[in-house]
Amino acid sequence: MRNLKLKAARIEHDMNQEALAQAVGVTRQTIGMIESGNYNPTLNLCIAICDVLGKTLNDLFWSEPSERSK
Amino acid sequence: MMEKTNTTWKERASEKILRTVPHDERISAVNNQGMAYCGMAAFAYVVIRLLYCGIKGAFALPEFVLLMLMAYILLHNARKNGICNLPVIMGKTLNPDKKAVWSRMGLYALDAAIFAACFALIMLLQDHSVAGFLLSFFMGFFMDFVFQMAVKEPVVRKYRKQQEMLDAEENDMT
Repeated sequence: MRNLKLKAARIEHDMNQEALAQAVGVTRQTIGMIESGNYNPTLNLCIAICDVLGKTLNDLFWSEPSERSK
Repeated sequence: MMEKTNTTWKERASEKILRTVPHDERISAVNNQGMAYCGMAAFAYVVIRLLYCGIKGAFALPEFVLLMLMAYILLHNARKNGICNLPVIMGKTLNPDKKAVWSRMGLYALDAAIFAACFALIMLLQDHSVAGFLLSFFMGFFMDFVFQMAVKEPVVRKYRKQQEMLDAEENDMT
């Protein structure tokens, strides 16, 4: 499932994938794969991303079960 | 009469195993790590055996094939999971830019020169002839240069393609 919330938060912070990747200590490919829904990040990485973007886990990684099945 | 189910034999077998053997994501991660350690031990064994056979003057073909197979499995797994890193030569990451082809060639040549020098030195110790040394150097240089080009240029092209794809979807909210 694509993570548009993360992408929106990143753009809102005026960050590109490379900058976010560097801030949380991963590669740009990993951020790209999280956004496109091809990789499930660990809880630690989720928290690091939330810290950088000033959001909560709910804001970026929670979706209603009805949305998840889409 | 037995009711026919739509599950495949794999699903049925997996369900049966999961019912009997405790299994969760933590256990799975620990098992995967354990398998990786086994792989490392096997890799160390193969390398030591190859070196041992090399010193003794023999060629361990099964071990060599196994080493190649290990390299292939690692590469295939990385490719399957979308990992594409730029190759590094002598501590320098290759520049993936299309225009930087000559800088990449320079690094391939540097790598080939070092390989050729080592190869030629070994030949010199065995052969004791300057002509043999020069021949080994040029042969080693040519072989390694072609090998570097054949292996690393496709990786650079793949990396460039992946970056272009990431660029295209970076700010795409549709």
